[in-house]
Amino acid sequence: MLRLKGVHKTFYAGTANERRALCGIDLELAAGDFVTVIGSNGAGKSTLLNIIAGSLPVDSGQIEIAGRDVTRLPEHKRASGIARVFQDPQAGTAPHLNIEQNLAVALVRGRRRSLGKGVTKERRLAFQQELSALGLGLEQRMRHRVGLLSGGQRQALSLLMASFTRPQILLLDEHTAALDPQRAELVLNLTHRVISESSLTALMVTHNMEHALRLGNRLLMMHEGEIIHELGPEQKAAASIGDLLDLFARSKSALTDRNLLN
Amino acid sequence: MLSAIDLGLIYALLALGVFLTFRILNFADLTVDASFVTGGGTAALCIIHGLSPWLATGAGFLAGAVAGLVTGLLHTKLKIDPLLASILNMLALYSINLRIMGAGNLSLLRVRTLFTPLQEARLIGSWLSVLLLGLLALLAKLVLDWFLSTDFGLAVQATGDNLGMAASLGVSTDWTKIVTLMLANGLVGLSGAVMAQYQGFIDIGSGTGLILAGLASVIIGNAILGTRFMFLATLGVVVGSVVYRLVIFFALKWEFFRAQDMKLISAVMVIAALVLSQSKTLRNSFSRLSPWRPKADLPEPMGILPTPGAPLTVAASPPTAGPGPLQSVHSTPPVQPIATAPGPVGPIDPVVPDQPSPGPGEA
Repeated sequence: MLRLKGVHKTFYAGTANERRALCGIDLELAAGDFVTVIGSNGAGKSTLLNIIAGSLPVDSGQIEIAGRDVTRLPEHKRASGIARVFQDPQAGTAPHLNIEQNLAVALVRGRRRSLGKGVTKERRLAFQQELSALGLGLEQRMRHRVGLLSGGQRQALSLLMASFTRPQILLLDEHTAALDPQRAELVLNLTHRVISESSLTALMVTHNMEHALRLGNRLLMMHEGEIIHELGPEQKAAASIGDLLDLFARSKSALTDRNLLN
Repeated sequence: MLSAIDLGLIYALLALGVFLTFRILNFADLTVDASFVTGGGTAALCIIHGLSPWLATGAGFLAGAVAGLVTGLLHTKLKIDPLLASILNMLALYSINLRIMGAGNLSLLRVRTLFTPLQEARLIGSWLSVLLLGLLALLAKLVLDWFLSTDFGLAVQATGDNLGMAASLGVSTDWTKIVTLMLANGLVGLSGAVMAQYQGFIDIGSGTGLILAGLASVIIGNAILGTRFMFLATLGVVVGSVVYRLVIFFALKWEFFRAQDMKLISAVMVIAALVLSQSKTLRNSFSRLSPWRPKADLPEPMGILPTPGAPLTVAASPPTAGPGPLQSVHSTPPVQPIATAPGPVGPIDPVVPDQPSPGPGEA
């Protein structure tokens, strides 16, 4: 479904601040894969999502979605196939539009936006159903501005807006990190539900190793712009948080040795 | 007084354009001062050359829209800051306007315009002209309401409200910005075309300072009728424009002021509107007066001038202020794992002590 071949990305190339964010990433996601990504700050996780979504251009390499080369497509043209939920609950919704207007904008994702009515009766009914499935009572507040919702509610709404059009790929960028533990748990459960119900292909970045192990069928560990480990379904099911830490510490020192030898 | 209302209703078209760029698109567009003359000059030229006044008025709209297109292209394709792009275009348009008009001033006193029938019946500045111009402003307001409620209009609103979100949902934000700037400046050009015919002339300096008048109308109107419902927000803009002209009218009636003080009065009025709309007590008293305003709205959502980087910004509240935790995306330390299984689970962090590695040991 998603294929990355030799993707490189360097920020501030040629200056003193040069930072290699992605160094030759090769990655392939089959349809229905749910991959969690962990790694330290600056490992390139968010950059990875940004170049897949198209909000950052790649320096070199190739990105394919469902067999189509999208490397040169701008973000809004990739959006028909890719949906995102951001870390910041403010980032995924328009605060001055109300809930049903936000949903209407999301509904037309990647299609031509006409001069037809944005919130029709049929759409409103459909939105109501989708919202009541969230179980947050938002279906009672369809005309409320999204800016009035709490962070958790906004993130749940973002998740709904990202998923209810069944995108080919769902990108989740630490989308529970800004929430309190209860809301994070709620949004995580919703994530699990929408992804399994619609068998979406998803890539989830997280700093929470327990979440990374609990959700998804594959796990990637990134460090300094490279994928240093990958756990398949069986390995992931058997792994514990301790194993991950061990793995990380070991590969990190191995990398340091390699750098020294170079 | 009725002719002041007439003026307010004609300038309401311009104020609706300013509302569209400043409030909806979050784009500080100063093209207005020049595109008003572009529209008025084009319409005047067409009428003088014998085109029907209706078509000439339409041509005024189109000329304004082209001016907006240029600002839009400067901003989206050449990546020039909105304020700077529009100021540059305003400067360039001054020369273009002189080229269009061929002179600093065009008179329409001897040709038939949309207002000739009213003039002949001596009904300019009467309740009839107020009614007709009111219908025109109302029509423009309703068209704008409709536009903003369509799929495309919602995408425009999303572009102004949260650019990143709009792009991630497949909105071509360059395109929505360009179309909105064209529509807004088209309205401004239309306002110029109608004003040229109403007054019987258009001058190269007719547009100077109109951006402030437009802004003042938007601020006054939104303070009175709120921004919660689009229908009331755009109605407020029309009302605000009329109120603005009435205030100037009554100020000039006072002998202390002379005609040349008008710009000063305008500036002071904008300052007053800006300061008053920031004051909590006033806003609260307005919300108590207006039953349709919710008790707990956003902390004045759009600020005063909504563009955060614009030097004109007076509002202190950041436009994105809202409930909910706000964390910067990348620079924060890793968030502690939460509600996890027992055990000292730390986030993966570069400071994990290095250990000698005997080799990979995957499960």
